[in-house]
Amino acid sequence: MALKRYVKQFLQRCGDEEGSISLLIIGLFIVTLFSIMAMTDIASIAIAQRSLVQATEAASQRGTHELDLDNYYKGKGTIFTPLIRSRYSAPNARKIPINCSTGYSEVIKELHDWSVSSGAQKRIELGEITLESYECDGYAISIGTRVIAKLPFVIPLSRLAQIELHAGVATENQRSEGFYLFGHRLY
Amino acid sequence: MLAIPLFLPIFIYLNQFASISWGEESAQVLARESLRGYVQTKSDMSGQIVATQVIAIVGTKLGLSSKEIDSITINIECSRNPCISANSIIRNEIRIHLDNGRIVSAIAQEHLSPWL
Repeated sequence: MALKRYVKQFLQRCGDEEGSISLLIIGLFIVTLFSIMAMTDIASIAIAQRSLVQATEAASQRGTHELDLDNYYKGKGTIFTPLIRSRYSAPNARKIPINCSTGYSEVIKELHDWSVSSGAQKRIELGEITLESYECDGYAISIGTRVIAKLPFVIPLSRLAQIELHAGVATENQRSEGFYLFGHRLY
Repeated sequence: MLAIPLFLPIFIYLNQFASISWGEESAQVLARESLRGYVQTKSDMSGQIVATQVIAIVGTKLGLSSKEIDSITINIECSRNPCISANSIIRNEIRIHLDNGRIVSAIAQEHLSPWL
C-alpha cells in the first residue's frame, strides 16, 4: 500500500509543471561554457599542429640541402655521362646524395630558429620544438618532431593543461629532368 | 527570455573565435605556400610575381573573398641580397584584413640551398 501511495505521489509530482527553471538555465549555461572552453582548446591545437608541421617541413628541407660531395662526384664524368645517365641509368639515379651528419645539424639549427621565432611564425602555444627521430638513408631524410603545446583553457573537470604534438616529414632531392652539360641545362 | 542575454556574449565569442581561427589557419597556409612558390623561381622579381599568383589561387581555394585576397600584403625579408641566392634565409609575412575587420598575420621561413 505504501509503495502504491509513493508511486502515485511521484507521478503527481511529475505531472506538476510549476517551479523555477533557473537551475536548468544555470546548468545549461555551465555546460555551454565548458563546451566552448573545450572547443577553443581543440581549435588552438589544430592551428598549433599546422604550425609544427610547417616548422618540420622547413627543417627537413634544410637538411636535404647538405650534399654528400664524395658520392655526388663519384666516378669519372665525360661529355657523354649526362646523356648515358639520363637514358640508361637506374630509377634512383636522379636522386641527389645527402650528407646525413651535416644534414642532421642543419635540421637542428632550423628547428631552433623556429623555436625562438616570434608568435606570428610559431604559434604562441608551442614550446620548444625537439627532434624526436632522424632517419637518413643517404638520399632522403625523414624526421619526427615533438612539442608541448599549452592549452588556452584547462579542460574542465580535468587537469589537462598541455598536450604533446607530433609531426613527421620526409624529403628527398631530385635532379630536374633535362640534359645538363657542365652544370648548364641545355634543354 | 531572461536567459538570452546570458548566452549572447558566448555566441559573439564563438563567432569571433571561429572567424579568427579560420583566418589564422588560412594565413599560415598562404605564407608557407607563397614562400614555396617564391623560392622555386630564379629571381626576386619573378618570385614576387609567383608568390602573388599563389596567394590569388590558394586564397580562392581556401574560401577567402576577393576583397580579402586583394587586402593581403606580403612582406619578404631576406638575409642576403638578392633574396634568391645561396644560403639565403627568407621570411615571408602575410597580413590579411578579414571581412569582419580583424587583421591576421603569419610568417613562414625558408632556408635556401647553398648550391643555387
